[in-house]
Amino acid sequence: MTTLPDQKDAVGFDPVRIGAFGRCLRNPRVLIAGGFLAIIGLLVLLAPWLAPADYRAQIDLPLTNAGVLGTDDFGRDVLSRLIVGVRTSMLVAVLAVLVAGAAGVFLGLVAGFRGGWLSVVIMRGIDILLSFPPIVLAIAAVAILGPELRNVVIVIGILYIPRFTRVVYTQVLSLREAEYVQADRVLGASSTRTMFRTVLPNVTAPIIVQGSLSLSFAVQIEAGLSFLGLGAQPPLPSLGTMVGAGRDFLEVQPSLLIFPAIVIVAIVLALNVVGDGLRDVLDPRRGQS
Amino acid sequence: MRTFLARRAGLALIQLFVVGTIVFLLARLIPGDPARAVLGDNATEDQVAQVRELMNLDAPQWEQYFGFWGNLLRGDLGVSLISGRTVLEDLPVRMGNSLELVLLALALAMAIGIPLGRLAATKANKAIDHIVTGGAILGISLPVFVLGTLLLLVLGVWWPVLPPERFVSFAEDPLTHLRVLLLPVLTLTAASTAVVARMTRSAMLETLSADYVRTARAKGLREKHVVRRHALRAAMLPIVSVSSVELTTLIGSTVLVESIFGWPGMSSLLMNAVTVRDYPVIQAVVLATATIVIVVNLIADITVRALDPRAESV
Amino acid sequence: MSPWIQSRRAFLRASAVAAGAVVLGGCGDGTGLDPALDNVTPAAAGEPSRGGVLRYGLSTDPSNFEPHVTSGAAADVVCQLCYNGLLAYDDEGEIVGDLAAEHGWVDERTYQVRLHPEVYFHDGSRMTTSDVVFSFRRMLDPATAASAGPLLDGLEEVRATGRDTVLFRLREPNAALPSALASPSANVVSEAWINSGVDPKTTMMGTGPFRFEERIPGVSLTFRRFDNYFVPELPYLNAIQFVPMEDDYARVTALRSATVDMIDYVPATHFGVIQSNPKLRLVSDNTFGFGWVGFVTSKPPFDDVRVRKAVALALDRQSILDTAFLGNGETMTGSLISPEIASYPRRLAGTVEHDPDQAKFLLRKAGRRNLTLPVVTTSSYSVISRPAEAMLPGLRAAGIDVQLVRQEWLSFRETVSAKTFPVHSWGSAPSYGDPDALRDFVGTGGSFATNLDFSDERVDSLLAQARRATDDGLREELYYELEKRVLDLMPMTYTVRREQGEAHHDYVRGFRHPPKGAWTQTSLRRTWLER
Repeated sequence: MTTLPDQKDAVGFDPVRIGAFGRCLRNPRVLIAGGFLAIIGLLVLLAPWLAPADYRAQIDLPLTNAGVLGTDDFGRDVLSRLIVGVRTSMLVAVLAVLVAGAAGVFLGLVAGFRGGWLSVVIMRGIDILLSFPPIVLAIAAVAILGPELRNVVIVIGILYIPRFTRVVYTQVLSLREAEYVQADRVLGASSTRTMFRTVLPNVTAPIIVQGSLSLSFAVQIEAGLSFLGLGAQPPLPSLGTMVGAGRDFLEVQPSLLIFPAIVIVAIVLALNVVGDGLRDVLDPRRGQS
Repeated sequence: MRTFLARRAGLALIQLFVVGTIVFLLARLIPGDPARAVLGDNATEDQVAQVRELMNLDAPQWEQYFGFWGNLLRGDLGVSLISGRTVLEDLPVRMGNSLELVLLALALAMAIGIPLGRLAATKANKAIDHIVTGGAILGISLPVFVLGTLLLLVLGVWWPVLPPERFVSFAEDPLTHLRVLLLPVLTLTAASTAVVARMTRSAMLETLSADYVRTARAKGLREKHVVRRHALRAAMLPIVSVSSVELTTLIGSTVLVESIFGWPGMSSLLMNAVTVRDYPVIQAVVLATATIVIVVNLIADITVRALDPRAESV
Repeated sequence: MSPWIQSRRAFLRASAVAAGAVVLGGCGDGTGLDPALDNVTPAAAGEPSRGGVLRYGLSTDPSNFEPHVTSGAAADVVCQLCYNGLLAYDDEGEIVGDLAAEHGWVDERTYQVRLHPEVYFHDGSRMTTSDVVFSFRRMLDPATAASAGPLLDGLEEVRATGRDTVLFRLREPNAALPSALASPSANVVSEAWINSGVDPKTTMMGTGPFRFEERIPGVSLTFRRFDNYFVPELPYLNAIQFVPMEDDYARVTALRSATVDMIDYVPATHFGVIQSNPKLRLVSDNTFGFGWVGFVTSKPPFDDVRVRKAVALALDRQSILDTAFLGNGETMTGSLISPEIASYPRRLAGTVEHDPDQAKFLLRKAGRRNLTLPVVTTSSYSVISRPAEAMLPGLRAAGIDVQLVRQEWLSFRETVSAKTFPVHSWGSAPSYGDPDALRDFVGTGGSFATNLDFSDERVDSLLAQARRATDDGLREELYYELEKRVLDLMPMTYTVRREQGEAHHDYVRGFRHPPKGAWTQTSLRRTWLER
């Protein structure tokens, strides 16, 4: 119990060390993407102070060049709406991934650690969840629960449970027989304690990688649902609703579509680059390049 | 292998049953009355009640539920509450239209993604590798609806090489059909191509550094030969699994693509059915979609198992 | 070398074959129209040309073809190509005979219709008076849930007299009967055909100028010329093909690229693009479609008329019109009924003007300062959701904090009918161009009034009196009184009458959008192509 064995060979992931993040940032691509995400993070926190106008207020006639980025079809300031839209999209994505992560990790731990019928039920349930295309399930669920942001968070959260459960499950399976876990048991630790105190810290690396990648998918799904009118409800903007609304003015005012589209792509791209960078560092098998 | 097959097929059946039950319940949990969907705004409450009765919506839920399975076993998918058409009249055509998009997109993704991934792997860390990996990460970062809308703007409006056209079937006018097909397929395939290229690249890098490849190299085989005979072959395994996953993703993405390009496929049928609460159609479409996904996963599992007997199904 | 290579190849080959089979199978068997039908025969100057196929981008794929139930404007448009009613609206929106050669009141409770001789159904059989009587009995049967049912409920008897005459006997005088007979879903069907067990939801067979050819859901709906149509020369077109295009942007773009010749339901956000294009024509009305904010009058806070009036005064209608419809339409400051339909509405204009200070004052008096409200609306139709979004800044300026709850169409209908929310924002249209259509909105038991728990004896009695009145001047006076009373009680407040219409290429000729009467497109029967 005193020294952790090197699990590189058994599992393929290093336990998380602070140094890993440092190493990750040495890649210039990751550095740029991380910097961009940091700016986005600041934007999310400071949105109310950064937005030059009230995102709900009519500041001028519709579709003019007033303000920095012009006005939208309701005469509202596009820049302010873009800032608030980023905040909406990011908050939904982060919360959804937290929901998915918490539930998914828990289920994966239980299934992997307890085994038996419980694991069969959990893993088959996960299979069933996976046999619906996610956006179809999301549409049905939002239709039932009503298009509120809270419901969108829950729905995306549930959709991404399988990703976490599967990752954790396979990790736990290979960890279960590891010496230090066995040792923990021999020493009489309760299984719950072993599960959370000993096993969990050793599966954090894949969880972090999965989390950062899921975040990028969550941003995309939220945008897709909002694009279909099932996500953020007006007057609250999200990046997806802005793209959806912008379509109607493709020719009159293409900027209504193009700005939010670029922001979505940039955020998702940055999240993917950082996710890849983390994986390269945390998963030695991938770290070849 | 035989027990594996039997167990796997059994599981697939159970999965289908659960999916069917969930869909039956989900469809009815959506608030809203299909009777109102066939009546105009000015319909009175009496008329709504009358139509509900005609649609047999007031029958007990359990009766409707068993009726649903009973009919299904007899191959009867039911009749649309709204249009009065049998589901079997419309579903196969719509499914064909969707699968046409999905399969073409998948085929394109593999035809482009595998060579690109292979190229990147053999030129690891050279300029071409950076271009491919950079392009790939951009590809997976383009949400389908953003790409679709931008393609429509650029190729349809600004530089109108592919102006929007109405859908015509292949039988009616093959050339127009293919032209109409182009934008939706391009939109769909981008992300999958990126995923396949990334997967091919990383799988090949892994095998290129594997012992037996090193041995082959040491034996003095030419690099080209090594790449083709050994590395790519071994990399097929993850490519097969990733393709099955991509197929599910693509089926999901058609919801957005069909809505953007007005493609008369399964997703638009489903979206319309949900809009008017056409329960038989909702059930049939979701069940059909789930069947496709489950069968594809089954085939992928079996293939992986056949290709690599060491593989354990999780 | 490795055994699995073989199987992999086989697997890939098999998948390729399967893919190919699905792709070919997926292409459907849509027959398409014979290209020869597209030929147009030029005519002498000023005369309509013959032939050609009109391709029409339709905003909704009609849910079904039931001839007596309106499921929406799109379904009405297609049904009116295949079926005829006894009466119809002409291009100016005036009621004229359709199957009726002559029509009129015999006395104040009897209406007589003499049919055109020699009218044939598409199956070759001849239309008789018994088909007409059968059709109206079918509409009166509650099991049909016919849209015209409530309009015809004062009908005592429909009877054939002689070879070609049909009499309508009323229990009491009803000046609105001709409007009911002209409504788009009062179609004449063949008794033998209906009784043969066909499903009139999936197919059509009538006396109209076009016969139903084929429907491929989501793709097309095709009609061919009926050569035996009872109006000589008509129709001019060889065929009409409807293409469902639900996406506004796609529909407009398809029109501009001449993929279709004509589209319906031009979104207000695209009026400018179409009007600035010299090859396109926009035809529209300002008469029917309108939006309103409806209050549940039985529950707080809207059981207090001051609060209802406060909201009405807080709405900035000009701003709603400018943003939601980019100025295409007119604000509604008086009556529900448009001045196109009657003359009294002009006297009521300006009753409800934007007055945020008065709104605040009324709220203070009602003890509802800082009113916070959930307002339900639907996200499914932009003509409803856009004004709902556009009214928010105005309400906020008057100190009313509104949370917009947007539901999908059928959920919204359910919620509104259950009165879950104290207030809703909706849009629709009077079902026909007569002030009698007010009963749906404010009459006891009217389909919209029910959602507001609104019922007023005086309103009901004015409605009944006006229906019995035969003198036009008296009717005007009664409806003036009625609408004034409704504006005092304010169960709903009207926002904007939107401009709505179709757009077509300039080579499409003869198509008119009636300025009043009803939303019909019967002029498609007289449309031709000039190429």
